[in-house]
Amino acid sequence: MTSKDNGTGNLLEIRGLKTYFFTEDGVVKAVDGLDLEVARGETLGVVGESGCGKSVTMFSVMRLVGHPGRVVDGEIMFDGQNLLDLSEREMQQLRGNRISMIFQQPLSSLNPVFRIGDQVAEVFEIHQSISRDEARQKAVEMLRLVGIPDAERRAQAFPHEISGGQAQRVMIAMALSTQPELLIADEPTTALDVTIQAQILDLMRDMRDRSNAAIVFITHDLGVVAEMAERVAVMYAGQIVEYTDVQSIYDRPKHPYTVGLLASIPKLGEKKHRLAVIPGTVPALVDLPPGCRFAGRCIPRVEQELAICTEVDPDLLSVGEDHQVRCWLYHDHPPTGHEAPLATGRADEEAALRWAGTGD
Amino acid sequence: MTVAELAFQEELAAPQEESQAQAVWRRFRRHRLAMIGLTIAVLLVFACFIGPLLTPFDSNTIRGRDLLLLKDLPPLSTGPDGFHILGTDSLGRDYLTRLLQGGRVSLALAFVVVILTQVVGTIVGGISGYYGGWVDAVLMRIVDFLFTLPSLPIFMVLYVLIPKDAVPGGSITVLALVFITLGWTGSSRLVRGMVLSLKNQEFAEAARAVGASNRRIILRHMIPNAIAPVLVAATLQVGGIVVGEAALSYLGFGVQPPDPSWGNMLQGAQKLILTRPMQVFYPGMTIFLTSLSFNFIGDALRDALDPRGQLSAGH
Amino acid sequence: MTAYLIRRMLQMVIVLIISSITIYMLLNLAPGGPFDQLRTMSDRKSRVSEEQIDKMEALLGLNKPIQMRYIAWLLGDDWMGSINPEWEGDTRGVLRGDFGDSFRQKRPVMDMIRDRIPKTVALTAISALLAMIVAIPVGIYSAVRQYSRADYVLTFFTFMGVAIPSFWFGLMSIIIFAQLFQSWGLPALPSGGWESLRTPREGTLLGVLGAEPGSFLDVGVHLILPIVVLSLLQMAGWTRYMRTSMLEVLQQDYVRTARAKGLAERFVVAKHALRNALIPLVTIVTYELPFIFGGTILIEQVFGIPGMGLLYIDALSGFDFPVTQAYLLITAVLTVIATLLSDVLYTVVDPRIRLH
Repeated sequence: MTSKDNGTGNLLEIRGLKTYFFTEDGVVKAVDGLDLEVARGETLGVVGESGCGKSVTMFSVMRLVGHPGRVVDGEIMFDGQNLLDLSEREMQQLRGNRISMIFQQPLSSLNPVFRIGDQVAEVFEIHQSISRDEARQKAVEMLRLVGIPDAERRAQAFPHEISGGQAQRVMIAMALSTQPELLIADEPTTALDVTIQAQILDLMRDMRDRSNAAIVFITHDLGVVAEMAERVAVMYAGQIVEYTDVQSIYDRPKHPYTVGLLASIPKLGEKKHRLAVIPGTVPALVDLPPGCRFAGRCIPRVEQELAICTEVDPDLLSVGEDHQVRCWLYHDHPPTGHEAPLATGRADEEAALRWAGTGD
Repeated sequence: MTVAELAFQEELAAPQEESQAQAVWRRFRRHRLAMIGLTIAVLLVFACFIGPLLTPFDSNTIRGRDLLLLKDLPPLSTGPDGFHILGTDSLGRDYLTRLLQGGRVSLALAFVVVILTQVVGTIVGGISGYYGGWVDAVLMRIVDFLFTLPSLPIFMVLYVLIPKDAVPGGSITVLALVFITLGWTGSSRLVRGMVLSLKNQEFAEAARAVGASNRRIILRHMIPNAIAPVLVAATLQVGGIVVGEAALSYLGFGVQPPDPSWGNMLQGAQKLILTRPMQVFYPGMTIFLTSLSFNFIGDALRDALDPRGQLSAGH
Repeated sequence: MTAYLIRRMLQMVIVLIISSITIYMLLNLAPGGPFDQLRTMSDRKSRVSEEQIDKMEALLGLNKPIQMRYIAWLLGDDWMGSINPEWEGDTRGVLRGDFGDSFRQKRPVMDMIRDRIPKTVALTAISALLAMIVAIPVGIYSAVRQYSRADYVLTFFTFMGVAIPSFWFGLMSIIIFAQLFQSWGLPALPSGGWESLRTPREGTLLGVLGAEPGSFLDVGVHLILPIVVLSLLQMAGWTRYMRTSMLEVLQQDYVRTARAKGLAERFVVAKHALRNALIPLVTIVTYELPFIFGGTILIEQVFGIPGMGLLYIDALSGFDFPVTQAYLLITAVLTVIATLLSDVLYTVVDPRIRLH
């Protein structure tokens, strides 16, 4: 599987990430065996419903997963270093510096008792040994860069005095102050009006072109993904179910969940009697039943009368050039004799290799 | 409908596993301290209401005897009337019986007061929230002010002003009335908040949008939810009233001797502090245990009824 | 802001007027005046005649209609001669600093208050300060180390502190630190009072320190127990409050942002979280000051400290209305001021709140 690779290897490589939450009601497997790559300068979109684990994955990268959750397994390689092996202090040196993150609710993500200029300046104070005045000046410049009008004066404002769109600009300013190599954007436009959303996306594209930062763009909005991302990972219930470039996702979606997501976007001019909907709800991530996690909502499974879906959990395997799917429609399972109804040649090979020697 | 959709309908129609009440009890049970508190509270209530009936002593009567010969006996001693587990007080009365009897007074008072203040508070809060406008503004101003006033001096002066013989039940009834005059403010705020959120425009619109027949369902959900914070407040208040009554009786503005109350027993005990310090320990300990257990229960109840903290009313 | 303050002041004045009317009417209309007993006995074997009672009443200014008596209380009756010569008296009224004369002690209430108020204020203020100094860091620690053993232990103690009756706690502490210490041969603390009445005994803490009766040290040692008791009780509630506030703040998005910026955890807590967590605490502390003031009644009774609390108890038991009125009025004023202060402080510390 290839990805746009501008330098020596990927900037971010996640292998077998498992992040579990140990709650009173049981263990919630929020992320259960996730592999992901982001090359330098590349924009990856991570798509999924609320609760699918997309945010938790990125919090795991930042090592900001709070009690009762923790990373139980896996590797997170950033520029060749496993982030999970670093000390907290080393991690703090990376955060806000080489890896930045912006969040969903910009207004509540800013501290209400500090002025916004000071909050941006704080990033400089933490990571660069410059004076407070210098930091303040740089902060004003950043605010100007992200399109805050009258930046010098606005820097004195408190968060409750600015709008949501402006707040997100401030967050972007904070995140990009130190020219990070990786920017993680966790649903940055979800809480904003559509017109503001367009402005923020423009801004992000602009900043990306200037800085050549890699971006992981988390969203549930496929339209936003189409605008921003080069590659897409579709997540469901803690796993990636489809992983390919953005064009393929729209032209050749494979996984029934992806198909369902795309179908549920109403298009102007299309006549339909009812909104297409994926029946059922996301399963609780505690006490998951065996088999594919999407099985309970999967129409093709019912139509094709596939029994394996409720028995064995499929792996993420290739179905073509740079396109991976986690679905029994596309992969054989030799131990049970299941043959993929929609298989292509390549998938068979990998499947055979995978299951050779397991004997179960 | 496709085959698939039919299949899903079945799965979705699966019945819920536990009722709301069971869920609440399950969450409550997780709090060990609250379970201990519950046990202690039940034991205390049982002991205080049934106990005095079981002991051979009377808490008040001093047998016709030469008063100069009466003195306090230490625990586990035998006096002219029998074996005293906790000894006697300075007038020869069995201490344990007095302790239990006093508990009866303190606990009964607390329960009655709590019920009445919740009722009064609910009515006031309901009126205030429902009518709104200047009625609401005035009532809430009053509530705010009364709420901030230090209660102890007010209770004391009210107690002094109400003549004990004008009311049946004497000092105990006066005490109850006194507590009610200030105690209703807390629940009135809570209930007002509930009523306001019920009156909320968005909610009414949503009810109509979902279909008016659902109004009954919504009410069936809203009312149990509205009861929750009131129940928690009431539980916590029981502990508060027990301590409050004890404080007033200790100062002499509550239950009057010879009727025993944990508070006035402490007052008597203070005089004996040099010779019989344990007499200070017992009534205070019972007050403390009662207050503590109801606090634990109330806190756990709050957690069990509302684990996500959605219903906590503001200050 | 000034418009708001003026509006609040006006409201305060109205509230105080209503309170003062309520206080005065409540006390003076209810049965149980200072001469009721004498009156009922005057027709029996008493040596006091009706006329003598009337005269005593006139001296105390009780021969006016109730409204005038109320006005006299507030504004004095030394000017009332022009309206009705019988009403002329010699009080200047509360608003001119004269609370009248005590029925029982026959001296100006103001004098009695002047003696006692500093003691109660000292108790209240020092314990509040001590409580805050401890509650804030302990609450923070408990919140930051949530689920740790220290947190559970501290939370347990705060539960105890909130539930324990103050007077019992006081009495038990006297038993332990004054009496038992003595029998164990440890330097015992005094069992009550404001200062020593004679040279302290050997073996007590005062004896060991060699404190002169009436000296600062003497008073200080006497106040150790009451202040510690009062502050521990207050501390319990405030620690809990600080912990809850801190826990809530630590869940907020902006704390996550601070961490995502690479800020070390101790700065996240000390700079970003603390500032926000303190906001509700500041207002609660101010709000509760009248309560602490009222609560000293119990502590003064337990430890025998001659402050406003004991004064009030005596006055109530003896139906000494001028003193009772004075105490209640002072309480009402304190309450109203505390509420105003609390609201104003809130706007000062929270930039989101700006009052119009």
